Amino acid sequence: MFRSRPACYAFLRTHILTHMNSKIVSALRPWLVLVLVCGAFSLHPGFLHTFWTRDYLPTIAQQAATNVILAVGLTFVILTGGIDLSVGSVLALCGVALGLSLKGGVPPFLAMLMALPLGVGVAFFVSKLTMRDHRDNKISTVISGACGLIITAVCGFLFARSLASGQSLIIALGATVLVGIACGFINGAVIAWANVPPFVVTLGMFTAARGLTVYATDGQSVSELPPQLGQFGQGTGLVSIALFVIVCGAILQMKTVAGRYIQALGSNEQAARLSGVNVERYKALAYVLSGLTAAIAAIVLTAKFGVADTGAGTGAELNAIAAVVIGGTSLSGGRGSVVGSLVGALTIAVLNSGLVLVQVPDTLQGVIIGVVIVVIVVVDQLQKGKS
Amino acid sequence: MKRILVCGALALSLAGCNSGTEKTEVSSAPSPSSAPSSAPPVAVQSTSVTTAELDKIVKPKEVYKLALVVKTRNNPFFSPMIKEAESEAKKLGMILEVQAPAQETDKEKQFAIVQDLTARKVDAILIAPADSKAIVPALKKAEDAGITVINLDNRVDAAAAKTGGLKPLSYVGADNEAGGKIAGKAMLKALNNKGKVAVLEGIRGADNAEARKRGFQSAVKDKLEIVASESANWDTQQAYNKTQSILAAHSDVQGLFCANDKMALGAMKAIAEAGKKGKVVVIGYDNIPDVKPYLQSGEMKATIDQHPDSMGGYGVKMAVGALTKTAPAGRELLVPLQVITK
Repeated sequence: MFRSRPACYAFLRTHILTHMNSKIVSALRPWLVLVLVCGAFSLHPGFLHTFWTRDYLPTIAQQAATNVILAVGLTFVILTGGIDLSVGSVLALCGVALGLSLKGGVPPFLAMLMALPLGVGVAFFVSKLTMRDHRDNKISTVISGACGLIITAVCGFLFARSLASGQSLIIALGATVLVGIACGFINGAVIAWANVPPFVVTLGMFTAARGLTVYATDGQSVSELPPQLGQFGQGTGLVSIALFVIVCGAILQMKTVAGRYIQALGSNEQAARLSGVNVERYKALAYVLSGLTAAIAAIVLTAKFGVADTGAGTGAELNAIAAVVIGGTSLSGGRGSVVGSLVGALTIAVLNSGLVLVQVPDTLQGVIIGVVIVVIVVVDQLQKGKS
Repeated sequence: MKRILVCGALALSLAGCNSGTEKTEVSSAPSPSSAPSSAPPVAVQSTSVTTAELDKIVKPKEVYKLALVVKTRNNPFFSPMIKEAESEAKKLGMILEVQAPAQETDKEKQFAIVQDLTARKVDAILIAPADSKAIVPALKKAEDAGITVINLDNRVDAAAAKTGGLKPLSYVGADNEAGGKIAGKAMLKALNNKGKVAVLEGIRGADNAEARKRGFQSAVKDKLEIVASESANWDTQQAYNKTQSILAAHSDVQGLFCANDKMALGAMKAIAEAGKKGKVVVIGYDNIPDVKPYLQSGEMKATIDQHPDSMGGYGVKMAVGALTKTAPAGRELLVPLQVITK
């Protein structure tokens, strides 16, 4: 029927997709996919009568929550055209950091990691101050670097001492977030300033963070955590944390300069640089955000199960990447949205539990999910080719 | 086929199995029986249920929907469990579906599966938890929804169940610590109560890995010297590497206990390459089909069979018994452990 494959695509584009306004469609498309998935499942009575109930819908939100949180951070990384393979491992490390901070026994290297973001923050601040006074980059770099190192060392020492015994919930949560930021910063710094491909750097972090997790705990899971932690892992607590992360992420992406710079540098790095964007800084920021969301996901997951174990988050990075991609964010960067990733993560959660509800044999479930992900992205490509 | 049935492990109390170290009394009694799942002589305590009691359960009039949730299908340990459960369910006229996460460590997915099954209101859930503590809230919800929960293989943590408000669950499984002890005794016998041995452990911190190691250690204590104890994470390749290092560091090691057969396969390859075939006594665990030729050639002295097939079969019987109220709920059954030598 068609002389060539491009002719076939052209036919599809002109006859099926033309009447859709591409801009509205690209914003609505993830929602359409979600509606389609829910609609298709609803044809089955087993899904229809269980899924759309007041008991069950919150369950889906809870099942999707960790992936939603991870996907929000990862969206920024993918918007820069990069990738972060380390989120699952960083999640495990943060979970263990949380457990050990609460129960006591944080090893010194973990305390140093917690101090790193503080040191970097001080170094950044000092460099701003000294730059203004001396107008000399070299001296300023040395001074700020030294300040950063000193702060890292001092804070690390203090952390190591105070976290050797168990600490209150709020301090432990702070420590967890610092670990996530530190891992993200290391990723981002090596990628942006040393110019190493993100795939390689985050693959290294993927292995190293998992290794550190095992090293810190000797492979034992940290259990018997205080019951107050549980409130973050279920019901309203869990859903409101996830909502908070989405809202902050969406505002950051759409309404702030940083968000627009990140998107701009992913779309055309050279152009962004020439128009005065500090490309390295915003690239690194994207990975820091990814580390931060990994830490929040770790808090939620650890709270949900009351256990911080070294195997947590295995394969979580792939689920998060799938959510971002289904959400319409392009893996080559520059195009996409945080809200899309939320919908992507919800779609994956509905797929996962829908297949159980309609009683698809478990041996087939993986195949179906895999095929659906690829089909969604293929349709996305067809539509993108048109605009 | 020479098999030794070990039945004493059946007589364990519910409380004593997860954390205790010296609560197990293992006696090995030779038996002519060759069918692993036939009812062995059993000592009964109030919390345990016998295989004979469960064998009495007949096909009920109603058809119940049962769901078997295992850790993963990627582990050969679970295939006999699934197969036997399926055939038993067929015999009793039940509908059985199997659900499993793709990865053994994916406790979040397993948690979600239990939630979904609860929402669908199956009649019974048979579960081998990926995490003995983390699964508790999901099981509590299932129980509240009136679903019969049967715990297989990896026992739900007693303390976590208590804090989670979960009633004592019916349990079918094996005592890994007792298994480790039996392996230790086999090692003692093979080495005449003296010598240097090494241990390849499973994943550190995993309940069954720790229990097998603990059992082995307590059996050989004061008689054999454990010169090395390394984790090879249940993995053949890692076991191969670790064994090479162990043999290099301790050339006089006479025995090696591998906490599963997959690791034993790697270890035996390393031993053969070092020219020590037959000089190192290898004892494995799980009795996977792959080790049969090694048992026959004598490269592997013995392996412990935990009978996951019986866990699946008796799990289904127990569920049906609880649903039809023909067998008491909240009891436990420890399947017989076997030393396989040929």
